[in-house]
Amino acid sequence: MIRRPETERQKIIDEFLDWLDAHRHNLPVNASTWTFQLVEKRTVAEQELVTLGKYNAQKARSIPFYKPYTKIFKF
Amino acid sequence: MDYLLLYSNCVLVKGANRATICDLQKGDIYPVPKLLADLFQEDRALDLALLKEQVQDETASWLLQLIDTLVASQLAFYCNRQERKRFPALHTEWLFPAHVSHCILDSATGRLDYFTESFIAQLGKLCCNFLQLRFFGTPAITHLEHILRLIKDAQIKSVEILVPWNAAYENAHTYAKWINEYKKISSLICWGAPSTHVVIPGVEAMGYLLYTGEQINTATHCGIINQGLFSTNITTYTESLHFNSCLNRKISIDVQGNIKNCPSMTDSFGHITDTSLSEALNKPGFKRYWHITKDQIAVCKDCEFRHVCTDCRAYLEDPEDACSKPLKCGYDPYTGEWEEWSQHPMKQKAIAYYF
Ligand code: SF4
Ligand code: SF4
Repeated sequence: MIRRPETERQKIIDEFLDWLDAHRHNLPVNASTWTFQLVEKRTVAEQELVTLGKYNAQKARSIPFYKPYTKIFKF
Repeated sequence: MDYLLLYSNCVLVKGANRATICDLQKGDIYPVPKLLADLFQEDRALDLALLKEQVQDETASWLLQLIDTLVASQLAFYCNRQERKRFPALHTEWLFPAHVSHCILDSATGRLDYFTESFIAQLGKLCCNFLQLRFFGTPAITHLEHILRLIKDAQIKSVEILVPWNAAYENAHTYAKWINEYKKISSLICWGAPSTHVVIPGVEAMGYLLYTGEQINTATHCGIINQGLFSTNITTYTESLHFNSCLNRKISIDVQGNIKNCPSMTDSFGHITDTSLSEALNKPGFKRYWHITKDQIAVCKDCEFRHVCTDCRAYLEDPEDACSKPLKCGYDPYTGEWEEWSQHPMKQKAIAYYF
C-alpha cells in the first residue's frame, strides 16, 4: 500500500492515491515508494504590461529616451 | 605585446586641451591627457614600441602607468599585431526608425486642447515614440489624466512631464498616483517646489518623481548645458557624429500652438489648428538645423565632450551665427574649466538679445 498522508486536508491527494491503487497494473513497479505533496497554485495577479504600440508590443516596463529631451534644468 | 587597443565601445574624443575616453556601454567618461591621446593611431590603437621610441624616460613611465590604469578600468587591452585585426572599430552609422523621434508640447495655461485621438494618430504616423509635456500653468487633474490615458494605448514609449508644483496635488498624493498608474511616465518634474529632491527614484530610468525649487515658467529656461545632462551611450554618440544632437528628428508645439523644430525658436511652420504635423515637417526649412553637427560648431568642435553633450541652437553666444557655441554652456575646452555661463562678460550681449 502507498502510505497515505495523515492530514484530512489532503483529500485531493487521497483521491489521487485511490486512483493509483486502481491503476497499479499500468504503473511502474516503484509506484508504492512515491511520496506526494500538495502544491497549491495561488492566484497571482498578472503583471501589468505596458502596451508600446500598434503591433501589440507589450513589455513589463516602458523604454526611456536615450538623451535629455530638453535641457531645462540642472540635474 | 605590440599594441594597446581601446575596446570598440570605448571611444577617444580629442579636444583642444585634453581628450576623453567615453565608455558608451557603461556610460562613463574618463579624461586623458592630450599627449597620450595623440599617440593613438586611428584614435584606437597605441603602438607600445613607438611610444618608447618617441617619449623619453620619466614621461614614458608616467604614460605607461596611465595605460595600466586604462587597462584596469576595462577601457583598453594589450594585443599583438595579428589580434588587432580581429577587433574592428564600432560602426558609427546612426539609424532611427522614425520620421520624428521626440516631440515637445508646451502649455502656458495647463491645457493642451489639441491633444486628442487624432493628434495621437498624427504622432503615430510620424512614428514618434517619445514625448515631453511642459506645463507652465497647472493642468487640471482630469485633463492630464485624459492625456495620459490616450498615451497609454498609443505608440508613445515614454513621456516626460513638467508641471508647476501644487500643494493640493501633493496632499492628495496625485503625483505619486500618476507615477504608479501611468507606466509610460519616464519622469514627472514638479517645478517651483519647496525643496529640490528625488521623491520617487525610478527604475531603469522610468517612473521618476522629482521636485525642483527652480521656476520653470517659460520655454526660455531650456538650453542648459552641464555635465549632469551629458548622455554617454552609443545612440547619442553616433547621432552626434552625423546630426544635431538636440534638434534632429524633433518636432515641437509652442505655447501659442505654432509648430516648430524647437519651441524657443522663432521659425513657425504652421499652426496646429490648420496644419498637420507631417505637413509642417515637410515644409522647406524645418530640418535646417538637423545636419549641424558638433564638429561644425565654434568652440564645441574643440571640446572633448562634444559627442556626449547634447546641443542647443536656440540660444547662441552669437545669435547671428547659426554655428555659434550654445549660450548656456559655461565650459571652456581651451582651459578645461567650467564657470557659470550667465556671469561671463562675453555672453552679456547675447543674454540681452534673448531675455
Ligand atoms: S535647441 Fe535649445 S532651446 Fe531648443 S529644445 Fe534644444 S536645448 Fe531646448
Ligand atoms: S563647449 Fe560645446 S560641446 Fe563642450 S560642453 Fe559646451 S556646449 Fe558641450
